[in-house]
Amino acid sequence: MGSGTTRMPRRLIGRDTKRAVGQDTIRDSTVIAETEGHCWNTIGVFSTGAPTCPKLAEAVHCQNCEVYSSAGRKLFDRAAPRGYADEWSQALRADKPREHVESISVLVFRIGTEWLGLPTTALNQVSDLRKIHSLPHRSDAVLLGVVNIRGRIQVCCSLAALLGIAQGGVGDPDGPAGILAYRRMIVTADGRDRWVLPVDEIDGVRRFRQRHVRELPVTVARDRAHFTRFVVELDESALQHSERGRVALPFAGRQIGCLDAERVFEALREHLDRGDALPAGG
Amino acid sequence: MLSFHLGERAYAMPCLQILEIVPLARLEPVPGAPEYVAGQLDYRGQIVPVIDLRRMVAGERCRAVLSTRIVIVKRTAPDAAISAIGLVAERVTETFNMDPGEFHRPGVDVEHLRFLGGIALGPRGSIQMFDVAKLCESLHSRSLTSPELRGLLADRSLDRGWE
Repeated sequence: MGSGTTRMPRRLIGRDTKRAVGQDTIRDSTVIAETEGHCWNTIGVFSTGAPTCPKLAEAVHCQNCEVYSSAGRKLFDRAAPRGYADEWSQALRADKPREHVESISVLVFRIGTEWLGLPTTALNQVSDLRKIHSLPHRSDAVLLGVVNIRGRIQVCCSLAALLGIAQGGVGDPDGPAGILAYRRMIVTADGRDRWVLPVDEIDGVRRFRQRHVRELPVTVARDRAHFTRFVVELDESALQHSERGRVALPFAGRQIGCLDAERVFEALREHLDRGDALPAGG
Repeated sequence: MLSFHLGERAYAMPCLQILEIVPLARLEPVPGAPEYVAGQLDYRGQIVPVIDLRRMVAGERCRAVLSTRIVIVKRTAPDAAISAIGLVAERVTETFNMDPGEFHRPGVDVEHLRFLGGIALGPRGSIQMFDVAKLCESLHSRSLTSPELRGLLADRSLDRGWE
């Protein structure tokens, strides 16, 4: 058992510890050695000089080392703060909080005035705007050309043309650079091919649950309906706690048409294959 | 597997039967119950008996520190009622993976500690397997002097049917 008045190193003092100090803190000599000496501060990665601990050769960072994690766990070897036990017996009477139910994650983006979604399983990366090199005799409205992304030459297609949406920012497409700044390129991957799809704006990855799914509105053109798996309406409840009430959803009041990645890729592939048979300029 | 300590000795319990691990909450005393019964707990609306494992195995109570927690496990009573029981153990802070085949039975089998199984050599020393099912069996076969406790363990009307 350690002698009564040894101070806890400042780094390890949390709110609970402050209350526990003065009560009977049960500690043994190993705890003192490891936390007082705190090797991660003296010879480890957190030291002011260069780290000299031999264990780093294997662990690379203190957080991977046994000594660090054991010291962390030993923090729990102290008496509970006053009222802790009673708080918990109260809390345990209630039903167990339910875990998250099934949810799908979708990359939400905008083309023209339409907000669309693509399942993140089909997503490879998002890149900033690159120069599209059109392919002589091959490029058309859908097949825009090729792009160099991180050294890979990839086929770039227009989702807007495929789905029949007028591209451009809200307002004048040739307007101020501010609109252009949002434009990105989505790189998708379906296991076989990669497709680069330029979009006008990316909102981000959102998760939604079954209750957000809505029926396709009857006004959606049949072609578009073919590519849309379902429509999602994201409301306040779908936002992270930090966002709620503070950030206006860019697609507020609109529904997000979640695309069927399979069908989109298939159509693009077909288009690419068909291109061989088309005469120049066709 | 969940690792825990009773005094200086390290033990392991398969995670499969564990319903939840909760902090050492305030327990209601059970009058006339054996020494190793720490009390009873109102767990999600069901009264669950809580056994102090260190008391049962080593004769001393578990230390009242933050790392001492109650492991709520599934319990199949002999009459096939599924219920829950709480086990107080020390240093309940880690889970790890180990092949059950690494645990070798010791030569000696202590009669009243049948639920202590094979011993394996882990990175931090020896660790002994803890068999929850055998513990529950042994709780039934022990002479429980308190009708209240016997009632607690057998009462199916309080059952909420744990899956």
